[in-house]
Amino acid sequence: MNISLTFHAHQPNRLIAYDFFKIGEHAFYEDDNLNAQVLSQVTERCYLPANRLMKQLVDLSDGRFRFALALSGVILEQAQHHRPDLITSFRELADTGSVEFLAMPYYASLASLYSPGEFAEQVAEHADLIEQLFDVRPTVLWNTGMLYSNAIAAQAYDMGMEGIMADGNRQMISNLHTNDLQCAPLIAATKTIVRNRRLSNDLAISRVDPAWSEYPLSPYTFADWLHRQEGQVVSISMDYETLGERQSDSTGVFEFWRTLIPAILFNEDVFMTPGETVRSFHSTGTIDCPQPISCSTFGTTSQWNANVMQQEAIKKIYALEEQVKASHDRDMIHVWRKLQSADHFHYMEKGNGFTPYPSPYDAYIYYMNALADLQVRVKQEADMLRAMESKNLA
Amino acid sequence: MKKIKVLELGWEFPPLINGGLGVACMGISKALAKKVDLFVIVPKANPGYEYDGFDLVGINNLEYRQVETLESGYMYESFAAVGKAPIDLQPYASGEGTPGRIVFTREGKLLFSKVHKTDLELFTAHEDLYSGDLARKVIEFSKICAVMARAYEFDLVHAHDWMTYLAGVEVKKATGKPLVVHLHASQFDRAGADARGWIYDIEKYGMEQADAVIPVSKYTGTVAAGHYGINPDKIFPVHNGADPVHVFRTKKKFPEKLVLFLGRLTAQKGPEFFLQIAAKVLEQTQNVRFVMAGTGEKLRQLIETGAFHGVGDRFHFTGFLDKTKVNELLSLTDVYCMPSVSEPFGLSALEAAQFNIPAVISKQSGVAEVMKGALKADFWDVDMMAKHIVDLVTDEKLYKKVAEQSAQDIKNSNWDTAADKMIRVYHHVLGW
Repeated sequence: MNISLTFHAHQPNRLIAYDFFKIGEHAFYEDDNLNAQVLSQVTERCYLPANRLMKQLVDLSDGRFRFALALSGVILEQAQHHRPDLITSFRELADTGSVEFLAMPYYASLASLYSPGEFAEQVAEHADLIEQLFDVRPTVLWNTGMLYSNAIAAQAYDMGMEGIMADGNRQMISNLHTNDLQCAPLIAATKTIVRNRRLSNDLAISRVDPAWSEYPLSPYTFADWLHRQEGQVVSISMDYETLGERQSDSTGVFEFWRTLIPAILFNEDVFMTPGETVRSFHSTGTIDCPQPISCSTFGTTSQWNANVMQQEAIKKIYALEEQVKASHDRDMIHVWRKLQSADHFHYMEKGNGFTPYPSPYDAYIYYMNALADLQVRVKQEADMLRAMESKNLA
Repeated sequence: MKKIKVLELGWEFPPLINGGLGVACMGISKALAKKVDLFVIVPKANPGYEYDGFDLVGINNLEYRQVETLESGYMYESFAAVGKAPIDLQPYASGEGTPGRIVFTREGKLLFSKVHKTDLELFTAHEDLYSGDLARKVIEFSKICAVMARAYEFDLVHAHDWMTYLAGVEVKKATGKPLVVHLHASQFDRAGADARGWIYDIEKYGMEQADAVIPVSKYTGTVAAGHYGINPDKIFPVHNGADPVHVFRTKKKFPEKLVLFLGRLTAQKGPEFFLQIAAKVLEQTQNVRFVMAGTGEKLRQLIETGAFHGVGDRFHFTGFLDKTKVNELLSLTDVYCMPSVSEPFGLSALEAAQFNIPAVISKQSGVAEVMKGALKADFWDVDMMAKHIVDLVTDEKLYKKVAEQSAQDIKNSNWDTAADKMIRVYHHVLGW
């Protein structure tokens, strides 16, 4: 059996408690201390030990172990500022030649849903960064939260992507063959790699759930499950933070993976990166996905855009696009794009316990105040440009 | 003429409690003390705090044996006229909660036991004066005021709002001195025209038993007469004053005009109307931002409604602000908006006027009687409210005119003027 393994890593830019009195006065919205602190913590507990482990496994297997990383531009940028050693560590993985880096919208945004042009620019910006850091240019797209639809697949095709990842959620896509490459309607050149949702979640979620029927899961058992899969390739994908952060070291997560990879190789199963997969196989069928799906619990986009606060925030940030871009001010465009990260809208979801704010209402208020400040700055800049132009004409 | 000796009964009082009622009572007391002998009893006071010109006692500072001595030989009058059972009350919550501990006789008369040691603890605890068993606090306060009053020499008793009305009535019954009740806010304002229950009953009973009722506006006077059936002949409206404030302007950091709503986010203050007004204004001009300062049970719902109206980037919530922050906000504000559904007075509009801010206020407010220059509309008429705001932020001439008129209007709005009017009411009651 062929196995394609992808880890996704991202850290949000959490905002400060940006109150009304800061509007027009305080141009920095992010809680730099908190963001640096969390990045550092996760770097120590997860990214560095996981990178070390993965590199060992690559080395020990003479490169037969291969996998992919989908790293957001935001986390790489944070690492460049606060943990350059993390960049070095990823660079070492890149140098093995066994690791493929996937394309992402740089800002882990929802631009694929709200602004196709902006989406393309963010994917290009991300590809530039990956090339600059790791000397490779990504060819397979891992969209924010695995967002996927017919339209998004078409956008990936327009960007020249060879493949795009989608979550294999049978409730969302009825005619699904999880372990085979697919295509979106009328899109042949960009293949859709469907994540095996069940097997991925077994490792990412169920493995540490004592109520699960298979608990405690042996890595050998899991390797056997993989071996018995049918189809072209089993795509396993999860957050990199599963290793050491969501599942702490004490759950034996590193030991599990240290055993799992050799066990898979022992079964003579073959690791392929997503790029190798799309270059090796033809797609076997067409999946029709008119509505966007994601790899979230419900498979929908509801964690980002179901309530009125989220909808208002999204509407207002994308409404600024034309004016922000007209400024040709790179810093301002960067700030605007950072406010597009999907995390901001996820923090406004009611019942989301995974948040730095006291409530979704606070998340919304701070965000909207920061956005108002950006509006003020955009307007000031536009007024200045207009004044200069009229002077030139005179 | 002989100086009148006044026993004043208050509930909130600065510096310990700084609610709107407390601020008003402080203003009244300071001004009255210049012309009458004044003694104030409140549930809670800071023992070390000295007031200029009057004495103030907090029940929380009484020793139990003092109460015991005062109480000897006194039988509490019953408050049987207060028909319904006292309950765990919250003056600013809509529902009225669980039964309290007062005993009824078979004839339906309320029986009051002697003050117990634990009763005094009601006032020494850290608990907010309005939370916990409020009914018991109100009743114990009444009993203690009554026995204390017997030890003082005074000409009349002046009670502020329903929490002290029972005390006022009990003092009147214990001493035979006339009672003046002050109506700062009624249950009608807080809960609407169908407000009934123990608080309403106490308000009605207190005003009926009183020799004079002083509402804070003519508007509130009509509420007392209309909704409580109080004889208009004994209603004497006296407008609140406003303490002079340090007025300053701060340059805004954004180009848009700022329209401010300031108050508790409860139905009474009309925050939903302010949102609707904001949405209507933004349809007509983009050159404006709105701030809703304050907190309350409706905050979250309002945040979502604002998002629904699509004004989230122009309509800002600050949550609770202290006085310093409120003044900072006033120093930035261009237009003050008070769309209250029922506002007995509306001191905040006067404070805004002190900052030279023109106001758009609801006709259902007492302050509308004072601020002749303010632009007014019925609270439900969001179109008219919005028009006023658009006019103010687009028409500089009008803006200047309204601001100047406001400055005129507030000249007479001071506590000394108010105190003089109250003293005239005292004279009327005493027949002096």
